[in-house]
Amino acid sequence: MKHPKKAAPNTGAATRSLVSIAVAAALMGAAAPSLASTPVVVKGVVSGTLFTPPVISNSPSGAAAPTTVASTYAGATVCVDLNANGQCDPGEPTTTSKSDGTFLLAIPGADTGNNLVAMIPTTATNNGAAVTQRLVFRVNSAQITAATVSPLAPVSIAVTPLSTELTRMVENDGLSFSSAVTALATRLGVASTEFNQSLGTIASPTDQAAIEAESVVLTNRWGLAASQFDNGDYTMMTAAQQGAMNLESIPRYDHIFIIMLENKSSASVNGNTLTPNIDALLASNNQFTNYFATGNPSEPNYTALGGADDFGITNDDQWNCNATGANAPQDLPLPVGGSSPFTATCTDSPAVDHNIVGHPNLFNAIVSAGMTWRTYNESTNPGQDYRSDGVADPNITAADHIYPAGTVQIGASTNSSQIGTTGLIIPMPAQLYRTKHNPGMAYQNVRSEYDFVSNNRTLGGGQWINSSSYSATTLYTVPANYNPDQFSTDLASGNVGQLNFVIPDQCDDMHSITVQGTVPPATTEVTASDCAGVASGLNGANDPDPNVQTDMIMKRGDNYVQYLVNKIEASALWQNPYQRNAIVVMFDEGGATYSSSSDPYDSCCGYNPNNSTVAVPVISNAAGIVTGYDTTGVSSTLYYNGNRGHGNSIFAVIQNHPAATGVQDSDAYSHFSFVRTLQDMFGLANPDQPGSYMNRSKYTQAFIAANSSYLTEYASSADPYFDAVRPMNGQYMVPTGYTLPAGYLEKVSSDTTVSGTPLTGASAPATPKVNVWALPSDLQ
Amino acid sequence: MNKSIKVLAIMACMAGGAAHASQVFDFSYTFTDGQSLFGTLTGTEVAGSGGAFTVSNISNISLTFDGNQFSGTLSAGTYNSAAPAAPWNFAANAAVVSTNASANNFIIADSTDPAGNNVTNYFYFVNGATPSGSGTSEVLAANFNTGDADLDNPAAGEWSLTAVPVPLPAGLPLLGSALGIFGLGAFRRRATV
Repeated sequence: MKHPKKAAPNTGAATRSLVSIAVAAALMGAAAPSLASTPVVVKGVVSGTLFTPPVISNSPSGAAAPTTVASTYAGATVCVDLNANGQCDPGEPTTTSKSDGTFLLAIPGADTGNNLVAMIPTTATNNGAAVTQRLVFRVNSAQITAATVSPLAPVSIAVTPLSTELTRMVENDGLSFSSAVTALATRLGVASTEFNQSLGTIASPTDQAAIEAESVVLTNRWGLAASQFDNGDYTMMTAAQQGAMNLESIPRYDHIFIIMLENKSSASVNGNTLTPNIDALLASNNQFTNYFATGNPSEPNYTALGGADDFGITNDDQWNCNATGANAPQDLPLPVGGSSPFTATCTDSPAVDHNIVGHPNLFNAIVSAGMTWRTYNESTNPGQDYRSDGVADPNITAADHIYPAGTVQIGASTNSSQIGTTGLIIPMPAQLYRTKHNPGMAYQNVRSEYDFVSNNRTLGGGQWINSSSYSATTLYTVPANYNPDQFSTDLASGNVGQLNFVIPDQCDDMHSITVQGTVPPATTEVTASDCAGVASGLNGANDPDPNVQTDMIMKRGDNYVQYLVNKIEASALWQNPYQRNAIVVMFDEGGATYSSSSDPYDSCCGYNPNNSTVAVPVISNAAGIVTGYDTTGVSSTLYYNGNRGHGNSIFAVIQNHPAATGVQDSDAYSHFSFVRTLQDMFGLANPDQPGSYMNRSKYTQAFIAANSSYLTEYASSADPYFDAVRPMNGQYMVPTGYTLPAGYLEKVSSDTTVSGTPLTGASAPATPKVNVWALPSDLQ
Repeated sequence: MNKSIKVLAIMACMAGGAAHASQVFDFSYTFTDGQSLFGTLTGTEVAGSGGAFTVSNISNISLTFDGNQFSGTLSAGTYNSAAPAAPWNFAANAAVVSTNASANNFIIADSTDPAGNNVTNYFYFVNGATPSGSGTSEVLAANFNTGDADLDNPAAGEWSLTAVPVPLPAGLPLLGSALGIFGLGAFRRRATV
């Protein structure tokens, strides 16, 4: 199915094409020697990285940072892949790598032109350490040709995770070898000459760091490929390696930026004249049109976004509320002064623990796979501890946002008079930053992570950060090199995480707080123009309110979203023709009130559909079989109160290189689906091992069916498909003939492009459904 | 100097420095990982410095590597480190096979195509800018029939080149006379001391 191409600003395909042409022209001018029927002695090394994962611990003193060193593999079987199946087979020229990873392989003239394969069994060693997961590395035959200096001279070849990636790219992305080298070098920002050498011999420190980081990620993918091949998912290792880049059909991305907004249903945004930017982003990019929250209010939703469960949290109490005994906070105090992060007002009755101890989450998983996460938080107090809510700072002031008459479209007309107060000076209010909106905050082992402090960073562009008085704060000890907009700095340098939560303050995220100031010399408190609360439409009712002043926070949030999108899209990493990046614009929740009888469809996909009596989460083995209840570090004895829906909200996906735009997937998804999708996107779980998906993100239809005796909340499920988790990919698992229940807002079968061309849906499953995350063929 | 080389030195004196007739020479190399290579060739010894000599006009080469004899008709070629893209030359008949390992610059292969086409086994020992780009001396043996290959960059390799002391029937009486005269002279010199 063809989709209309996004006209601008995506120029990646054209750029990639031009680069390929240039490379081809260069190659024509420097012809490689003809090697037809010329035998080759390959003087090779099987090289990669030895990655020691971080120590994940609930105790900061027990946590440790990961290490990565360049390495060589001893005991690998290296062969010429005569039958191109990605394996070493009997009859193929074969040798074994020595203790230093080196090998010599004599390739007869008749066998040149074939790829090399290095099969690394679990009996092999990596820098002397045990290899725990079988791996297969490969080398494209063109790499041998390119490395050939003269006939009969040994050809130096490095068999690495990156040479394997180049081979995969040639096979699957329609690239020549030289184009693949250009693509990989450009994507990583390294010299194109770096790939055919042992990783320990790369001269440039920056190139070596980038290549080692990529090696760690790729090694994980190749391990998944071998595992899935050995499990019988594939008959060819070559296909398994391509499949490992598209787990559950979710492509690997380099970076994702998740812009979090607050408390507005889809109906409150779609067609709202106060949100023209977001509506335009939805229309010109891709979207999921039935995306559901899994709780209410914010904290359970953000906690679910961090790890696919809310663990019974049902309010916004701080992370240390009711955390006693085994769940008592183990955080280390930080010498930042100011407001203590351990002071909290707790309101639960009966008490519910808000400190999630010992449970998996995206943050631990990302660092354990050798990648990095970040949260970028707007309008924090300068130098503050991220475990504390923001506090009022009278020394930092800003002017009110002024919207002149005629500049704000409200329905069919524009504002007849100015919105905002000229001369209004607003001190920085309290709670612009809230810990409840930080998706890693509830997890003890995230707060204890070795990189917790450094990975929570500042986000600029806000009303107070732009003020010249921002440096006048006296609340905290502000580091000399304090950067109030680390996000801009990181975008410029490329030093962002693979997983980035971009969290506006409570004005720019449409949440609302009380923001007041004065017009000197008057002392009368005047409310700011665009941070007051506005109700979200409940399952359908569009909202702008007739009262413009009340609704202006949506205009403000809409402007801030556009600011963030523009900033990201202007960055070098977004413009990189070979990096695969995405921006998600989403809300933590829509607006609905769960009722099992009158409004049962306020959420879906792994939430608690029938008021479970299960007091604690279940635990399962890798095979996805529940082995009992999680009584170790039980986070809440009121677990069954959590995981409730709160309506649907918009979910826009903006890609720097989309395969198509205007794609809408109207299947039902939830935060749990998104967490599963992110695990696929970054290779954090193995689809062959259902239990490897964290917490409730493993609650697929098959998982629920296999564990019905434990998952009693699903015993009377009227719609097992609707109630189950699935990755956010319309190509995956939609059952034949499935029809969503009556009363559901939009049906799966209504999938259409923006132009109205029918796509496929559950009613016509013979044709693959759309995949919002799909990449162009040369980037897959 | 071993016995066979002493004999050759004597013969060189007798010939007044002129090139000798063809002889058979043994050569061998033991790689650092223990694999061994040995063989014979026929050639003409050319005196070098310090008691070393090289062999020219090489023919009748046989070579066994890791227990397997190289196949085909083996020829010797030269290595030119100044032409890294096309360093081999089988036409010049100027291969340097020397008792001095650091003087070696030769390739033995079953094909005389300098582009290396259709080679099924070859062995080279070269010095200077090496084909692989590492070290200043390089030895490589490859047998594509068996898949065996070995590569060294030896600082002081286990290399041996020796002449095979085979009597030449037609010249044997003359050699005996010469030795007799030589020996008599020596006796007389000692006697006068």
